[in-house]
Amino acid sequence: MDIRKPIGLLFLILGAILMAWGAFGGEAAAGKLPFNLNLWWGVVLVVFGGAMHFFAARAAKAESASCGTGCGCAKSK
Amino acid sequence: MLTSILLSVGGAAVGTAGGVSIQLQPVDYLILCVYLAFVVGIGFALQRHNRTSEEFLLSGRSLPGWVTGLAFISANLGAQELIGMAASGAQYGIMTAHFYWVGAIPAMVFLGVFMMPMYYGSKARSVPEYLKLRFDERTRAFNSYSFAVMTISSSGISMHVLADLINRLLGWDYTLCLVVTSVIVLVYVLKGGLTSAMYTEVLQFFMIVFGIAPLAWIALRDLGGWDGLVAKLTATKPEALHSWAGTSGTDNAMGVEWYGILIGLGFVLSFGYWCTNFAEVQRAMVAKDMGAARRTPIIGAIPKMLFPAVVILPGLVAFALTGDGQGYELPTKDGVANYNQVLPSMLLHYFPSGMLGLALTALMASFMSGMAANVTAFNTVWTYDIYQSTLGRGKDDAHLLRMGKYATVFGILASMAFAFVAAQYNNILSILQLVFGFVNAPLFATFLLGMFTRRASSRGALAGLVTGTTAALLYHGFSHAAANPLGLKGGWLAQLLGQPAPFTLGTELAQAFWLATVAFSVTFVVNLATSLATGREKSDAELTGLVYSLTPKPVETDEPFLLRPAVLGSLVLAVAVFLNWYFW
Repeated sequence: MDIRKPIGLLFLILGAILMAWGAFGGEAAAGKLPFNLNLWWGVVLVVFGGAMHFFAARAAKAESASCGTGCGCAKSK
Repeated sequence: MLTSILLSVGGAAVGTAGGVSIQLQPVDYLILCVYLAFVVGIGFALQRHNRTSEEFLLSGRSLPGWVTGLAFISANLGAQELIGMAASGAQYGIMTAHFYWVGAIPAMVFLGVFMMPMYYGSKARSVPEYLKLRFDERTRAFNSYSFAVMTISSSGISMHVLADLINRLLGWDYTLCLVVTSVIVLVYVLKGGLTSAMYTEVLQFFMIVFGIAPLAWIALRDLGGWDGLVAKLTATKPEALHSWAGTSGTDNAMGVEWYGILIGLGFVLSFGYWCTNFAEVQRAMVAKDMGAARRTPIIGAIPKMLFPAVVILPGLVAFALTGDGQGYELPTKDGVANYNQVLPSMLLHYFPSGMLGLALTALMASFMSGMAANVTAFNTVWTYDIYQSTLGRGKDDAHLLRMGKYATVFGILASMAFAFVAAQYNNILSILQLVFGFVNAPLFATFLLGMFTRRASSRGALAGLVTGTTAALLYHGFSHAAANPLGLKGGWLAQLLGQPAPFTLGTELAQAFWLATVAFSVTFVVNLATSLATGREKSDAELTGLVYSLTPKPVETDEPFLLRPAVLGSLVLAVAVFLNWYFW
């Protein structure tokens, strides 16, 4: 199992949670800062999660492409 | 391990009432639950890759360099380090960075470039096993038994500090925290083996980057950015920005001269930890090939160098903000600054809920993976070094795999038991860091000789280890930090004899540095002298792959230039030197 997949998924979910909270959480979510930290940092996390997922998908595609048919490649971790 | 020194130096141990408590919103609990679900889920997903003992204990030696590299530093990055470094940053300033730029970085580069060819090439399954191949069973036994005890105690301390912190911050029951977090770690390690522990270490790394790194950046806004911080500190406490200030003598925060820092910290203590501690080296030993194995500590060194910006900078900022009317003040206890509460109090002050949940989850993740790292090192040493060489001789792999799983359960239970002990006796932490010092420095001298000269023999190794450890004990008995009374923290032999301690050091840190230096030097000299006097026991053929001069140089020509260990390592060292110069 490529570790990048769970990392990507985790940060996509966490980022989405932070974004939703930042957008709809009201007072508690805004905190004392002049900008919406939860919302913006949530976006950063989502972008990171997406990037990780992209790298994992690209690696998986490259591996199955090089494997071809009748190759008997073991599924990598 | 070094962080325990920092924690006790930084003030009261984390856990004495600090007056900081946090109210969490449902969103924070949600974030925590999502993270824990992932961690357990990864364990279950990896079950089918853990059918042999080598897969369970050593990840089948198949992991890529970036994973092993990040796991390498995460295994050490416990929340004690996060809290301890912030505390030390607030109290002592940028001098704290020595633990990184003078201590860890050179050791990690040395491990990757010079030592991994022998660790990895010898096909040893553990650090003690290398000692058996290079020397003999007795040397291996010395290492494996002392390591087993040390690593379980580290694990126990991690769990104790975690449960205590949660208890203080959130009011949850100490025992409940301890049991729940231990069970979670047990499940994912038992199911997914070392791979699952290392994967969650990588996860933890990113959690810390995203959960804690923003803190310093946000807090700096209140000071007018980096320039504002520099201006404020230059006016109030200029040595906070100069890591080598006052080191021509002992009139500095650490109480150590520059050569003491270089030798005691830069060489003996940090090399002794990073180059011989199996919980670390294991992560490099399970890389998928020699190149990845050598690159592991060097890849890890890159984020490690930048970590002072994440962990020490908040401490500097906290100090600068105090008394400024900015709304943030250093937490105090009975009128004295309580440095160990700096990080939690900064988080509470600046992060709204949501972000706060992310940060706290990152802290918890660090503690838990500290336990996992120690337990996965323990179960491997138990199975291959302690069990297989005694009761388990000739047993098949299925049996060893079962033994590895029992050892995992036992390791977690023993850690929990140790956590309870640590909760009762505050002194345990100090005693333990002493034991580490006694054991690590002599071991490092033994490795150094074993790996770089053919002449070091088993007789020499054992003689060196015994005398070195004894020398450490004696030095400890006759030395103490000026502020400490004679007794458990040093000078007990002098006390027994009714004399003043002949060696008085300015600080506990100084005492630790010199103790390690004494232990290392004695071991080195005795080992070398005994080996030369008694002659070699193993021929060149037997030592191939175990000694630097008898190991074929790893082929680097088919690797991209920048990825070659020597090149990458030199780059990393150059940046570390630059950072030292910049904060001179």
